[in-house]
This record gives sequence, structure tokens and C-alpha cells, in this order.
Amino acid sequence: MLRNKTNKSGSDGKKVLKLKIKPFKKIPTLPSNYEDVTWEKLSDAVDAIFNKAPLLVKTTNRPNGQLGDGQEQVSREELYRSVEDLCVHKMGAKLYSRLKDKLEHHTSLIIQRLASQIRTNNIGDDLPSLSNLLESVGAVWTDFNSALSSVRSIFLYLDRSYVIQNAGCMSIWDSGLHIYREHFTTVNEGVVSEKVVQGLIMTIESESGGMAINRDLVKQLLKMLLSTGIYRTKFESLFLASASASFKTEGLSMMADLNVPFFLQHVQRRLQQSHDMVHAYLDATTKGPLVAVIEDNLFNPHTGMVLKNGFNLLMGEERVESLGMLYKLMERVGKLQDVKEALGEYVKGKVEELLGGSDSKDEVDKLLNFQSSLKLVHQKAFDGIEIFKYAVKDAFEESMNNHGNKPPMLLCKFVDAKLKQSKGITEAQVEKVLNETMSLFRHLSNKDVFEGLYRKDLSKRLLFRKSTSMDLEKFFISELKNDCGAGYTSKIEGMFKDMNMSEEITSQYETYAKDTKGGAADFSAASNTKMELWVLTAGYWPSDEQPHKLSLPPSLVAHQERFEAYYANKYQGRRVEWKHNLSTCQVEFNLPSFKSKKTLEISELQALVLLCFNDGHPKKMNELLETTGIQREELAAILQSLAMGKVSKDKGTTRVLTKSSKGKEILDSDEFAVNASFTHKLARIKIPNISSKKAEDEKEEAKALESVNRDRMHQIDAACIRIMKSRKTMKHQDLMGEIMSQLKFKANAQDIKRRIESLIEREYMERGEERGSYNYLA
Amino acid sequence: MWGSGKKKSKSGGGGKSSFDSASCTALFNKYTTEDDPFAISMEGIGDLCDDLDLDPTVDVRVLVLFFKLGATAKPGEISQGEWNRGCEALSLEGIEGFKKLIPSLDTGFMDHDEFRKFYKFVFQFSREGTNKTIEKDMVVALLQMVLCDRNNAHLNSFCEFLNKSGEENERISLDAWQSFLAFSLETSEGCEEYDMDGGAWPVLIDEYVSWKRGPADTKKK
Repeated sequence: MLRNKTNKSGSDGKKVLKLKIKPFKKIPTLPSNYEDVTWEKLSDAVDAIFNKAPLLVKTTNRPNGQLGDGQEQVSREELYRSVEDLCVHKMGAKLYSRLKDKLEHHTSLIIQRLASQIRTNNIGDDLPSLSNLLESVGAVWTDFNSALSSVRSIFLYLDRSYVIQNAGCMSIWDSGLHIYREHFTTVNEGVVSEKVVQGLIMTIESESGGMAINRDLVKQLLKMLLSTGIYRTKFESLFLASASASFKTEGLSMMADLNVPFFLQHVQRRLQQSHDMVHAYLDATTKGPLVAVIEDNLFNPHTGMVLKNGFNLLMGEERVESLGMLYKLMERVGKLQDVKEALGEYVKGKVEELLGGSDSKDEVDKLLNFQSSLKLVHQKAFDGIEIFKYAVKDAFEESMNNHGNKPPMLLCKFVDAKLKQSKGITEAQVEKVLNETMSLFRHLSNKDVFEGLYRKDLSKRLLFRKSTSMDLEKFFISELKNDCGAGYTSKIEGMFKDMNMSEEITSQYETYAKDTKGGAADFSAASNTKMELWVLTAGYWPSDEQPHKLSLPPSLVAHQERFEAYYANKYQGRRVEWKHNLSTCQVEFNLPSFKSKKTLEISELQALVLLCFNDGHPKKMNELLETTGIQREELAAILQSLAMGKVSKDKGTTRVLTKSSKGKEILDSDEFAVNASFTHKLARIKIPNISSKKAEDEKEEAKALESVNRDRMHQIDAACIRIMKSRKTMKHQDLMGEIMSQLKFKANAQDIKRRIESLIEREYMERGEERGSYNYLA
Repeated sequence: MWGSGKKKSKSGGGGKSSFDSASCTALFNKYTTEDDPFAISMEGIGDLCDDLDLDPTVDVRVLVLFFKLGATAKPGEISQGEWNRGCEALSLEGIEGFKKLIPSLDTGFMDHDEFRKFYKFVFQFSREGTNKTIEKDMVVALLQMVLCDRNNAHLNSFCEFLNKSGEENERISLDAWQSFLAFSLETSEGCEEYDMDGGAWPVLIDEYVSWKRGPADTKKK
């Protein structure tokens, strides 16, 4: 009670105002029961808050400050102030402990109520009753939160002063949660928390089963578990365990149906669901473990089965989507290696199928299609991953090279056909196909076989003018060159060079022949023959058997000799050999019945036979054999082509000769004569030599392969000598290894051994003293 | 200049033992023919064998004889020089000397090294002209002749193998011939320890072992 005295003076004049402040005579003290009274008030307030009742406290209308009987509304501010007062007067500790007890009391009541609810409603293990429980708990939690919040705001000063000053003290909020947790998990042996968790798990699982649930409630309750710190231990572990079990059985039952694409989709869906769940109510930290549970239980145990039963089918049908899913899932569980292996096996199997069949056509087309299908799938489903590309490449190589010489033979025939094809395809398209064919070519280990066969086909294309486009030919050569180096294509390029040179040589020879006296001009005029020359370097072109000694008519012989002389003079030291079986002729054919001369385009051998008939007499087989010197079999084939050709009503006949016997066979006793009634619409007639093409083809093929083989033996010899020369002495195993590594083709160990023995015989090397070693002999 | 001091015998005459080189040459000339007076060839060898009462087609001692005489220059013949040197080395006088020598021509008397050299000689001597290989039938006959007394575990089955095999083994090389001896001495009859991939045996031996093991395997089944 402060009083201020003022000193006023009555008179005019200047007077100073003095203020005096005096302390109390008696230090004011709190009433003795202040603490208890105040606490009563606060206690009532807390009760009211928890009971959701208006804040009424007992009135203090008694003069000594004691509480009376009535009740009056009290403001929160007043309560706050009371707390402050108590704290200021150093009564915080007791206040804190009393408050704690209060919270305990109320929380216990709340939980007990839930527990008894469980008991009375007989809440079992079924979803509907558990759902009810969850709803109650939800409501309870909401109320508890708001109550605690109110309490905290009232006791805020306590939080800010006493709690902070004392290290081991929990804040009011934390205490509240702590207390809640204690009761929640221990009352009635923890039946509440147990039921709640069970309910939550069942609810969530029912959603994965397709039912609609109250997501917000679930979210709220999970948050409750989180904030009370029992989410991980009480909920998550149980949840994950339950999920594991259910996914495990799910996986087993789905795979029993073996519908792989469906299974993959399902796994994908489950993963999506889990994502959803986390988004909607699960805590973010559960995401990782849940995904792992799905992968480990639903998918992982079945990867083997999936690959075994579904992979090949999916690949075969180019099911890019399913394969993409498969790829991603396998990547998650780290089993890409397995996929890679399955892919390799699939490719190998398919290639085996395509190449292994005994009676198949269009293998190369099918292989090309297969190759492009793989590429597509690889790009779209497998993300173009490198290791798969290598797996495919290795698989191709391994399986293709299991079929000996068949792959290069097939590829060669295919390329040959493409380079001769004129109809139905543009040059650009052919280029594209050739490009794709090169990818198959690259897998071959016996590329030298391809080269030998290619030259055989090329020689026919060049000499009989069957290539559709020189540009395409050159294109393919350049591809080969890029891939295998200049050495590989050297002979092939030599063949082209020869063709170009031959044009030059022919024109040079013609000039020479015209200019020189008694030269070819006379020849040409006199004998009615004109020569077009192809000079082929023997080493480049496929080896041919020695031509049989043919008897040429004098006119041709004269030409031959003339050119031989010219050539020998021009290029000293070169020897010329005439290949009559490769040459073609254009023969003038004239009968009295013709309006104008006809020209027959035929092979030289056919021409030789026809020229025999210039004297007008019919001839027998034997005569022809003697005159021409052609082998019997060959002659028979030629006569067939000339006498038994096609007869068509509109075009005419190609039967230049007539045969005496009626049947299709050429008999030794047959007599042949010029067909006086020959007619044909065209002036220029082509008569192909229909000699057994297939047998001839096979013979040529065999020769080409033989030549490649011979070459390989030489390579082994050369490598062996080279190695022995530098090392002088070597052990058997080492020598074998060295030779194999130096050879460009895969060599048979036995072949190498034989070559070694041959070299020993030829005294290039000898067996060493120690068994299993060799010495070089200079 | 060449006078006093040691006396050197030039053509084997005088010195230690008295060797009659003249009679040696005379004997040589008995078996030569008009075509070739400087070497005894197959015909002459045949006559010599008749005189010695030996059958060259089955008796290995004929070969041992020529081995010891040193007829290494050309197959199937012995030159004058070789004959003379050989006769002197063996102290052979006249046909009687040869006859006395016969018992010692048994291969059993040879040690391992000498036999190996003899074995090689047999091949080289039995070739025809400039050929480096011998026909397999001849090889079989030679093997029988040369190895029958040497307790060779593989002789019979190898000969059987050769007889049964086709054209690919028509001619046998020296390398194969020699390797066979070494192989048969090292390897047991069942060929269990034979190293097909690592061993540096000729392909012929590999084929023999596969053949040998082959029927054995089917027997087991």
C-alpha cells in the first residue's frame, strides 16, 4: 500500500514536488495456503478440460482466501497467472509433479474406458468390431490432444521456466504423450494397443484386397502411434511381418497358374499400391521396408520360374511391355545377371532352331527378322543396356559357329541372290538388307570360308553379267573391308581390277590388231568372229579344274594364238590359259526360212557343238565327241539344251537342233541335225546351258571349301614355323596354344597336330629329347 | 718323311688283327649285279640270305646283320664302303664268318639304347626308294618281326588296329614308327594314364588309344 505524500504550499511561489517512496512496513507474504488453494483451482480446471466441461472453479469469496461453495467462471489468463505466480514463488517443482499425477489420472481413465469397451463389446478379431474400436480410439485421441494442448497453454510458464531449468524434466507435451503411451500399452496387459494395431493392419490389408477404408482415420491413428513412439516397434514390425506372409502365399498361388505376364502386372500393381499407401497414411520411413517386403516375398522367390516359363514366350511374341516390367523388377532385386543368361539361352535356342533344321528355306531372312526383333525388344524393353547387347552377340556367335560351314554358305547364297535381284526392290532397300546381313556376318568365326564362296559366286556374276548394280557390289565390298581389313578383300578387289583392266586390254588389242598388217581386221572380216577378252589373274579368281583339251575350230584357234603372241610380247613372263567353260558366244544363225539373221546367246561349248553342223550334215554323238573333245557328260547336257529346249506357242522354239530319238533322254545312238523348222519371235535368243546345275553348284562349292581348307593348313604351317623359329624349343602345350592364338580361325587341335607331324616329316622341326617338346631345325 | 716311327694301317691290313679285306670285297662282289656293281641291293641280299639259310621275310636277324654292318646310306642296299667297314668291324671273314655271327644277331642281346637305334634303322632300311613313309601292311609285318621277342604289350593290338583302319592311315611315317616304340614302353596295356590332349603323341597313336579304349568301354557297358 503505497501512499504518496504530496507537499503543497498554499502561497504563491515556487514549490518543489517531492515524491517519497517508502517500503512496506511489513513485507507482504503469501497466504499460507496459497499453494494449495491455487492448486485446487488449477486442478479443477484440468479436470474440466479433460471432461470437456466449462472452466468453473470454486469461488474464493471467503475472506481468508479459502474456497467457498459456489462456482464461478475463471479465465484462462487468470489460471495462467496463477501458474506464473507459483513458479515465481519457487513452487514449480511441486506443481509439476502434481500436474503429472493429474495427467496420469485422466489418461488412465481414458484408456480404462477403452479397455472396458473392448471387453464389453467383445471385440474379437473380426474387422467390423475392430473398425468400431478404431473409431473410438480416433475420437479419444482427438480429445486427448486438444485437452493436452489446453493444459499446456495454461501451464506454459511452467514449461518455460521449471522444465527448462531442470535437465531431466520432460516438457508437458512430452510427458503427456509419454503417459499416454504407458497406459496405452500396458493397461490390461496391453490389450488396447494390441487390438488397435491388429485393427489397423487388418484395415490396411482389406484395402489391398480391394475394400474402401477410412484413410484419414488410419492416418490419424498411425500418427498417434508415431508421436507416442510405438509406431516402429508395435506397428511396423507386425505390419511388415503380416505383409510378408500374405505376399508369400500370394506369390505361390499366382505362380501356380504360370501366367507370367499377368503375374508381372500384379507385382507392378502391388508396388504401386504400396506407394499409394505411404502417400495416404503410412509413414514415409515404411516405404523402403514395404517395397523390400514385396520384392522379397512376392517376386524374388519366383524369378527363376518366371524366366524359365515366361521369358522365351514373351521374347518370341515381342511383348515389349511385359518384358519391360520384367526388366525393371529384376533390376530391383538385382537379378539382371539371370535375365542376361536367359536371354543368351533364348537366342542360342532360336538360332539353333533356324540353322539346325535339315530342310529349311530362307534361313537368312528368318535370321535377319529375328535380329531386328531382338534389337527392337532390347531398345524398348531393356533400355538398350550394354551387357545384354554383349550377351546377344556372344549367343549368336556361339550358336552360329556350331554349324560348321553352313552359316557362311547360307549368307553367301543370300547375298548373291540380293545382288542379282532386279525386280521388286530398290537399290536403297538392297543396301539396307546388305547392311543388316553384315551384322550376321560379323558373328562368323570362319570368315575365310565366306570369302572363298563369295569369290566363286562373284566370278559368275561378273563373267555372266548377272549383277544388277556395280555400285551395290562395291558397297558390299567396302563393308567387308571396313570390318575385316584390306587383306580380306584383296583378292575380291583384284577380281574387279581384272574386269576393268580387261576392258583396256581388249581395246588395246583391237587397236593393235587393226593396225598391224595381216592383223585381226583381216581375221574379223574373214572368219566372222569378234573377240571380247577378259584377262583374269589366276590368284584372285576361284581355282578351276584344268580344262579338258578341246578341239576348237581353226578360226577360233587363230584368234587364240594371235592374242597369246601379243600378250606374251607385251607382258613378258606371263602365261595365258583359256577357260572355255567360262566363255560365252553370240552366234549368228541363219536359215533360208529366216527373214533376217538371228543371234543366239550361248556358252562357248554350246557354240562349239553348233559349229560342227555348219557343213549341213547330221551328226551322231561319237562324231561330236571326237570333233569337239568335250566330255561325254558335258556334251549330253549341251545337246539337251540345244535339242530339248522349251517350245512355246507364242514365242517359238529354242530347239536349234533336232534329235532322232523321241524320248527325253540323250541316247548314244541319237543323230542330231539342224532344225530346219526353227522359228522364234525374237531376233536375239538366249539358250541357257541347263547342265545339271545343282551338281555343278555342289562341285564348285566343294572346291571352294577345299581351297579354303588348304589355305588354312598353310596358315597353320606358317604360324608353326614362325613360332618355332623364334623360340627354337617349345613344349607341346605351349606350341599348340601359341599357334591357336595366332590363327584367325578356330583350328582343330587334331589338325594342328597333323601339321606338326607333317613339318617333322619335312624336317622343319624335330621332337626334342624330352617327351612333349620340339626343336626348330634351321 | 713317312718313314720311321709308328706304322699306320690304312686299309685294315696288318697291325692288330690280320683282316683279309680282299676276301671281303670278293664276297661283296658275289652279291652285286650287273646293274649296280657298287652296292648290294635286294636281289643280292636275297642271295646272301639263302647262303646263310635265313629267311629275310620273317627273320629279324637279317636286319640286325645289316644294322651291324652299318648299311645306313640308302634303304634296301649296302654300299661297298659300308660293307668293307662293317666286315672289318665285325671281323667277318668269308661266308663262314657270317654264319658264325648269326647266333649273336638276336635282338635280346641289345640294350635299350642300341635297340632303339636298331628299331629306327629297321624303318629307314625298309623304305622304298625316296619315299619317307612305309605302307601300313609292311609296317605291321616289320613290327611283328622286330618286336615279337621284346615283350611288347601293345604289339598285337596295334597291329590289329592298323589292319582295321582305312585309307587315312595307309602310310606310316618315321615319326609315328619311332613314337610307337616309346609309347609302348611307357604306357600300360589299358592306356589309362595316356594323356590325349596334353601329350605330344602323334595323331596315329591318339587314334590307336581311342580305338583301344573304345571297344573296352562298350564291353563294360
